[in-house]
Amino acid sequence: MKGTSRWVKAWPATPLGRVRDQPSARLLRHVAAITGDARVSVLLLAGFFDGISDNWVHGIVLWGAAAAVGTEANSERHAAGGIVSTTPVGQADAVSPPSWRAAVIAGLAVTYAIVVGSWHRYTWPTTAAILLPALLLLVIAWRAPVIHQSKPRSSSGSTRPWVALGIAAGLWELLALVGQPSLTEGSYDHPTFSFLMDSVLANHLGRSLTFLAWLSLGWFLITTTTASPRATHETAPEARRDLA
Amino acid sequence: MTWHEITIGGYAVLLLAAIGLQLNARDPRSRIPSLREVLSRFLASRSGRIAALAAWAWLGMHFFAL
Repeated sequence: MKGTSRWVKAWPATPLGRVRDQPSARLLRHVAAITGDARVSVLLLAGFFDGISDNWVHGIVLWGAAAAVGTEANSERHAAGGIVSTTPVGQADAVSPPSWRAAVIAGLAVTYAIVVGSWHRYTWPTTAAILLPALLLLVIAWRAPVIHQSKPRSSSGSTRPWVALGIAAGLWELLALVGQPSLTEGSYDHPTFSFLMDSVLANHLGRSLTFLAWLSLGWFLITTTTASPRATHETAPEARRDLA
Repeated sequence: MTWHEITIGGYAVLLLAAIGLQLNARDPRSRIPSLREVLSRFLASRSGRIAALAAWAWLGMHFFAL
């Protein structure tokens, strides 16, 4: 009780702002902000289900991604200033390479996909072939400046149909997963998307096309919003707030 | 109708719904954004970009890697 009375005595003299800035309060706020982020929640859930499906390595990778996204989102929220480009998409002096370079990259990607598709899945060479571009693009995603997006024509509420569709797809996949005899054994009656892909990925052509589609998706994601350093400039905090 | 057909039918409905939304988004009067616009909005921040690339990397690992 002695401690409590001392705390009560101290309370009126303690400015509220100082209490809010205590390390424990800051940590609580950070944890609440991170776990309240839908992207983090999805990554955490995906990691959990991948883990209980007997693939804890992939689950831990997803949890690591969740931690990285949460930390980055938190620092974005607290950033007072920084590098933000006002260059709209499509007009950027961006990663988008000249046509001859794009053709070379496309040729290399096709060759890479043909070679990797000739290897069996879940082997060390295939794993290395996946990790190489994955790590490369993740590093670029982390380090390269972001192009500010031009505002879509519609309000934020109109993305709801897409969000609803994504949730429905996730629930349908989950229903198929729990309908399996076990979480580690596929089912013909309740096929998950992964189970359906097994027949596609059983042959060289299917593996190469899927690998190429995967590489293309990564390339699309990275070139859509990644600006070259020349395309960016420092903006004042007021301008940054306007952009947000 | 078997459970297999019902499950496949569910995936087909989801795919058709996505195509329907995308076609609807092409109408200039539509308030529904295209999938590209939704993705662009999601990728507008560094954290969103990292999340998308992490999900993409996981997809490759899930289908191919150990």
